Amino acid sequence: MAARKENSRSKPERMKSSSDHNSAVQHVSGEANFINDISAGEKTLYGHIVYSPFAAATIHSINFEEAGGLPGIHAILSAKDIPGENQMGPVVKDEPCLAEDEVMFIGQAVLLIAADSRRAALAAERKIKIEYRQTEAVHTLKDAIKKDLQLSSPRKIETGDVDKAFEECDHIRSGELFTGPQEHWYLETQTCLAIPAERRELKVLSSTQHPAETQAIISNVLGISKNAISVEVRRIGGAFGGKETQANHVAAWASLLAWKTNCPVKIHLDRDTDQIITGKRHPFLSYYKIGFTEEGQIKAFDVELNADAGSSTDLTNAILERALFHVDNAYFIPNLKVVGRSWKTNKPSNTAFRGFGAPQGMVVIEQAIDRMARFLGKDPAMIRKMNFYGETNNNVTHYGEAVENNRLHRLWDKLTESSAYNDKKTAVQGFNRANKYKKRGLALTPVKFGISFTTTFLNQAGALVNIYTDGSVIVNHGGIEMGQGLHTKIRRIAALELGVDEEHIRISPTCTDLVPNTSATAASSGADINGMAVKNACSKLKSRLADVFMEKIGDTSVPDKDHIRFKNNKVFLDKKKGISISFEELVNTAYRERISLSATGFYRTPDIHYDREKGKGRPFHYFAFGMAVSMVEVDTLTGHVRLMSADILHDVGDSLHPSINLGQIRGGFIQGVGWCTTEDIKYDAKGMMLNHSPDTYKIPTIMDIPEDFIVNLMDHVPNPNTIRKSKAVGEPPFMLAFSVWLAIKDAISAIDGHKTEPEFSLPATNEVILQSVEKLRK
Amino acid sequence: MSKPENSIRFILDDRIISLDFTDGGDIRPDTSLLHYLRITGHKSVKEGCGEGDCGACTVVIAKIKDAKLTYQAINSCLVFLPMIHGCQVITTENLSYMQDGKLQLHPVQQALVDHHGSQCGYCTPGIVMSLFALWKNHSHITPSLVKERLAGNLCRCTGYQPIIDAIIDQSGKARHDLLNDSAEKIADELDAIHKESGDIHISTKDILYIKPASLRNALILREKHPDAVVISGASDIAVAVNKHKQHIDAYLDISSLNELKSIRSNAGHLKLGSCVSIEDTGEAVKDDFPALFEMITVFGSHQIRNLATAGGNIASASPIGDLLPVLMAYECEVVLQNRERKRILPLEQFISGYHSTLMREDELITALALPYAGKNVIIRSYKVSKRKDVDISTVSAAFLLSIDKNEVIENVKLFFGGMAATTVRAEEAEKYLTEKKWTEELAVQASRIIRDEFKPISDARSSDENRKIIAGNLLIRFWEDTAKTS
Repeated sequence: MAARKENSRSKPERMKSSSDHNSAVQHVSGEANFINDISAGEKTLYGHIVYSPFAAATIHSINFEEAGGLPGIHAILSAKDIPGENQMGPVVKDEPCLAEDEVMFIGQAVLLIAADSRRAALAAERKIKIEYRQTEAVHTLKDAIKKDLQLSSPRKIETGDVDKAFEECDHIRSGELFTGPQEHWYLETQTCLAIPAERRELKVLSSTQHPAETQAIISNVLGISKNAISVEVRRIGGAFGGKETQANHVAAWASLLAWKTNCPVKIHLDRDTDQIITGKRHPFLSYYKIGFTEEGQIKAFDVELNADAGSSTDLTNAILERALFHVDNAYFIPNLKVVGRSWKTNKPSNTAFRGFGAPQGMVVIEQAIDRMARFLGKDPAMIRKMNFYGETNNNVTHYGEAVENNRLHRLWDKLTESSAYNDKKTAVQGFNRANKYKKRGLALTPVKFGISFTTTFLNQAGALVNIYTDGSVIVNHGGIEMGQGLHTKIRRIAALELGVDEEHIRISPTCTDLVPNTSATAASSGADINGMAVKNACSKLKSRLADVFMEKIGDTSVPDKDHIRFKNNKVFLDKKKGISISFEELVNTAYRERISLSATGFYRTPDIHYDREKGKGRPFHYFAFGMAVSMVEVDTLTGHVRLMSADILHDVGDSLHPSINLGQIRGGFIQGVGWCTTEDIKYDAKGMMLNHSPDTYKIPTIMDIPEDFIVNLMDHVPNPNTIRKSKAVGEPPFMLAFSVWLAIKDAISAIDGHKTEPEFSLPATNEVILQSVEKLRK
Repeated sequence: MSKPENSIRFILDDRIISLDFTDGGDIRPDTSLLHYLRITGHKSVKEGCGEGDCGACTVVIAKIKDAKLTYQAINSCLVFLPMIHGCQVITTENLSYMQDGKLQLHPVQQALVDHHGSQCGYCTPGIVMSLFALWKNHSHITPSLVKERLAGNLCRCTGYQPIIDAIIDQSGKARHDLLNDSAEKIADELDAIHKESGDIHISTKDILYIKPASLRNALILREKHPDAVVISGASDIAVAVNKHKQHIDAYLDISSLNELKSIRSNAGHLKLGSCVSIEDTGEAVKDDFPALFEMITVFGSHQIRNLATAGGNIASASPIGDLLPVLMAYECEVVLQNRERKRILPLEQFISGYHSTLMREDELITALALPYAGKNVIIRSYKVSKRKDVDISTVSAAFLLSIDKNEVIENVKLFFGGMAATTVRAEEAEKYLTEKKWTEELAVQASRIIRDEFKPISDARSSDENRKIIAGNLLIRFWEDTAKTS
């Protein structure tokens, strides 16, 4: 193997002592149970989905009489057997739970089988006769646009006067950009175990990011009230948005089978089925026109975004909206118009995926700026800097929200220095002069990402904190642990609020019985909103305990209970440290005094609003910022890309947990690199996805990470008005991968000395690279 | 032949397990080790894909070699149960232990905890096992070694860096673990199993699984059961059976035949037994067959390379078999044997078409013979795939070139995989190149000929047009690589 430079990694700027991931020991010892590892006893049945092999067809007959009589088959269900409503659309009711008389995509569930084993279910499936008559299917976004198959009415946000501004620009460039789908490839495929309980109640273990919605969908499908359904989630094996709405499907199917058979039913999709039947990141086809001055100042930007929704709405409207909000990325553009349209195609409904539309919106301006810079013969990084939002002026977005606490300029200063951007630039130029077939490229890209659900009412969270008489604490909250370290952060927040060691805190599995009506763990909001709800519950408990403390010390000279501190497992007065009571003792006293040691907490994000009609408001509580410099080497003969280095600096406010934050940044970045490079999906003429297993769908391996992978957290950037002055971190780093995508383009462009704009799309697979190279060489 | 056994024995959880397959239950001879481990409570072993591409099901197999235990990470989804006869199977659960009511983690487990090497945790047990094998086999661990050994373990959360940091932190540190304490006992037990074992002959209502104890017996059984599918590493067949639910009536498992695992150098050849693993092949060819070694570094993952064999890769005669072009460039010969005699065929001749060979129904491939290449011959191999590692090639190629002192081409052979139904030579281009001076201009001209010589297909990996471009470009890549070194 070719000698590669060994990795080096510098320590983050500031490192608090980091406790272990809440589940780390269970993970490494193999003790950590996922739903498929849990048994509900010998009567547990295997749930199987019979799905449509056609992208569009009408169903003329279904016959499963023979199949139903086979040994080991307990039930076969069709749409007719659904006791409630045959619907599982989370926002718009356009998604049947089981197909009735038509199918709209390959992978659409038609029948459900409950069997003793997989073998028995497959044997039964072979005996089922479904008569389909194929109808015309629409496979591509371009075809959907041609046929005017709009999913919902277009969205628009506008500021300034774009048309007038274009007249005054020195230069205008326009183009189109296609960005491809992305499969979530969570390691744990969609799983649910539905267990019937007494009195026609149902216990559901689901790998869902959104237990409250899973509960709602099951309730709707079964036609029973929500309080009869308990949805519980201990941990899920990765989600990335793929289990925000689409875990509901598997849960609804398992619940239907369990309801019918009165036996526990487990559905654990095999990898290929998961990849075939679930939605992906929305592919976008975007058109842009950018106007700018000779110096490189952007004056006008006109964008049209077209999202491939797949066969139904799912979260498309919100995803498109977030794309619209992020077409500016980090740049002040005085005249900006963005129109977003969503289109129906005969594919599984595309869905949430880390970034939630923002990557698809943001990449357009990054591509446009890259193009501007090549046209002007300038360094794209300098054009970016020139157009950053200002700190005091030029700081209002196209939707009217001011960019407060702008970190872009500080990030630029620090990162260009720490990454030795200018030296790298010189070295790349030197290499490219000396080499004909191998070319290097460099790019710096920023991220500004709005934090909050853009559907304002979702920005709420609940918690339930119980203290036991021995001083141990259990924290329940509405968020899901899916690997992102939420429970670890929450444990730390609760420990700091109550002033006890983290060992005394246990985080319970998330359960709809304990905290009701929660929002999805999504939009990077998990720690922000659930952390605040936990803090709220802890404050209530502390207030009660403070009263007990005052009574117990009997010191009436103390003016008020604000001077009482909870720290180091003790409660004391901040001016008289001699007087202290251990937390455990105080809790015990409270119990004897008949004081409640259980409190709920609640949080609603303040000061956010958005007027969809006007396209104006303050949809985001704040913005998260990051920046990356990446360097690549492209073999222009084979299209292979060597990711030589990535330098990342990211703003997480005051970090709640540096190791976990670094993990989110690295992981998000690499997932973004996958989307930008090797994660490619092709379809055959019938609309069948060809890349439905890791054999042909290629996510990054350990070999694909940057040879030099340097990630740092920004220092001294407390975020006002959030939990412990922290910032959300889940999604923003994903988009830092644009630095890799544009570095590849920079390398290709070096073939003709950056004279021609290379043809380019996303992902930049080696096939895309070679085609681009071919055209440049001709 | 002594009376064959109908059961297998292996060590799991420090106990000797004896499995017979006669009761026709959920455990069958074609049951994967992954499935068996999960139904026997080893829930740490996860299925992420069922085709050996994700590594979530990685376990470690300990085998006796030269009276000592060797530890190998493998994908448990690609192993049929009888293949582990005479082995110890180690899962993540086996690495830690309770002491005074407290869980004591293995050093690699503790390192992962300390470096935040797990996020969602689903891939983690598999990663633990890959790291454990690495830790057992190497005291000095470099980042490039970690990457090579972990390329078959997909993680979607961490970005991998903390996993590298964790194991690097263990490099050079003292080595002791729970497994050390029992190693001697395990070795004795495995040795005893081997000494007692004769042919294994498992017959259930719909499967015959034969695992002969010697080559001689294997050849007798091959003649007797010509339709039995021959298993040497099973990395292809296991996917067909476990994932695609293909039913195979009869298996002839030669994966454990030591006679087919020898590596010898004689009479100007390197002779590799057909059941030498790809990983061991890599070690053996590193110095004398560098182009083959290069190709092996991008052949599957470490876990796959531990299972798969060069013999198996040849026998399956896949148009995208990574090793075929380069083995042909080295003028590899295939040694075939039946009960009576041996015959030797050049590999180029042996591969007769799409997934077909000249192997007869009563023959087994027993060895590959690689002649040491002459001094004036340059051989290079190339593989282009969407993802560089653990991916099936879009196009693979191997080129052989000899030039005289005036840089005029005396002999050139251009082998391509992925361009047709079988490995093919670009004969037009070869003709064009011969007796011309080896220059960039010439390579560029010839690359155009190569493009037009083939009619490849479009599939999930690439368009036909892209394959043509790559095939041609690889000759220019070859020119640049050789121009720089010569």
